[in-house]
Amino acid sequence: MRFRALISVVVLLALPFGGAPAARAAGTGGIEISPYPGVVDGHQVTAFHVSVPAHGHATVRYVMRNTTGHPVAGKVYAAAATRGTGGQFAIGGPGSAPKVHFAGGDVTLPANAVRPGTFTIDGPVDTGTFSAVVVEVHQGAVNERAATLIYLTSAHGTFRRLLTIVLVAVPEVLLALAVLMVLRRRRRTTGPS
Amino acid sequence: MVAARRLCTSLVAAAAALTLAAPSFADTVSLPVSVNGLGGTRQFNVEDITGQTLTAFNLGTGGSQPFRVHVTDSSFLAGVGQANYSVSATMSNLYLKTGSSHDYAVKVPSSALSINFGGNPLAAKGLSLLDLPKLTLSGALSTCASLSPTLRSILGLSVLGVVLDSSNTAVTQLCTALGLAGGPVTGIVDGALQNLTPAVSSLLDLPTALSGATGGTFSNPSYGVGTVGEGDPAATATPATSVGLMTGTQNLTSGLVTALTSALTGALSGLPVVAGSGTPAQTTVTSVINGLTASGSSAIDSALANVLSTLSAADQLSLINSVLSVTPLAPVLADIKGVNGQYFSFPVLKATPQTPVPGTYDGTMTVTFVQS
Repeated sequence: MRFRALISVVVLLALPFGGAPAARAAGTGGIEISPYPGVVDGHQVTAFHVSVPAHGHATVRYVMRNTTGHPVAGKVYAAAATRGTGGQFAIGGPGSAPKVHFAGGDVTLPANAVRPGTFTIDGPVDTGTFSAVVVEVHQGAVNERAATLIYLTSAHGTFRRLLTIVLVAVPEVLLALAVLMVLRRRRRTTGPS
Repeated sequence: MVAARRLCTSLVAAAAALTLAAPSFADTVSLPVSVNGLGGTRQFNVEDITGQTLTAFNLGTGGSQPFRVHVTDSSFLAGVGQANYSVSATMSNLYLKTGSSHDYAVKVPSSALSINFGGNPLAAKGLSLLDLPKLTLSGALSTCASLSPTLRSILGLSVLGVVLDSSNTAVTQLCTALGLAGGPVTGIVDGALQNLTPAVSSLLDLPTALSGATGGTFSNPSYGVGTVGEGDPAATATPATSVGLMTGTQNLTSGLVTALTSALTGALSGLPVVAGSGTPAQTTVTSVINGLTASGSSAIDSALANVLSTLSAADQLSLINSVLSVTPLAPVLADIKGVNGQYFSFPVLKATPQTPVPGTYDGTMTVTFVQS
């Protein structure tokens, strides 16, 4: 019984280490970039959630599409994203996310075009940091930018957290088992002869 | 003199051409590609007040110009806490235009420009939600002996309620389960997909609650790539002031639930519980059978489901519509299979320049939409 309770506690403690919540893609000027697949288990997952190895890189699939029935043009690029104290994000310009290798630039899409692609992210990255894939359309004096966030996680960081959980949980489970065994032994020795 | 100068000064933010030496998708070869599972779309645009693409602000000698930020959701899947977004703006300084270039030494600082809002800064329209409702199924069956002639005929019972075909074990079991008193029939079933247009009275009750029309002054200018300020030799690394235009927070408030329930009740009103293919109905025969056989069903529920499975399509409809009724349950997030809607923010760009050199000034406003 006590063993079960202990397991429950360990599981609850592990939950906060889960991934960041999913978000939606963003587009402007008829151009939209979203992760692929865009729907998983009935949920639209359109922000990028990427675990990047410390020594290596992660490859990310995406789809760029023209949501209109006419040709559209714009610029796409990877950019740095930083979260302010109020939770709002500031998005950098082209070249501000050097670890994200997104073959962007000027793009023209035919009507209703769907164009799959991949980009890579070099490690190491810090868990809890962000980048973004940006669609930018110049409309005269107005620049419209739509940013799809990339939630970054260090694969090394994930391993370290799992290791921490194991190192904390295993001794506690062993301790609980030991206590259980001692209690059983006492019951046997003090029980009716 | 100052007044004259002000009159001569026209602050016109015009186009800023931008060319980047970067790989172009235009160089790639296009092949027909079929991709499934893309989901809905969310598009963001900056428009003039009539809905046309905004390309320039003409602030005259220091006036203001309203515009609108427009976010369009099409078949968007809902998710509380998952689809928040924010829209903000930065502004470059306005530089004196000299021919096709700019005199960066002569400028109206961005701090002379600000975003304000009127009395109704935010709005939404065209809201509709695709809802797959859960319905409570209820009804009652009397003993086989006291069923109506129609039901006796459907089930193959004699006038006295005796099963005429002894090999029909499903009906026999149903009559056994009904016993001498009959009993209730209950269950939870999936309703038919409904396109609902809820009457939402508060911006905070929208599927994407709107707020964040804070506005403010562009204290620090933007020198970003693609802006007129990019070429300013006095550019600094100080981050540009970001002014809030709109925030969208995904939610399902009690107010929205009430509005959806009302819309759902209205949509289901007058519809039969089940109907033939192509005819609107509240649910389907398959859903009724599944609902009656779900875990926790009573013996009567299970027996009725078995009987329904053996009947012809016409008899299924007749039995269900004569015995059962449904009541919609309060919608939950999992019921929402798609959201369509248009969301607006109505900022006003205002300029209050301090005695600038007469001429035309160019600047660039960058409006950034971020999903978080």
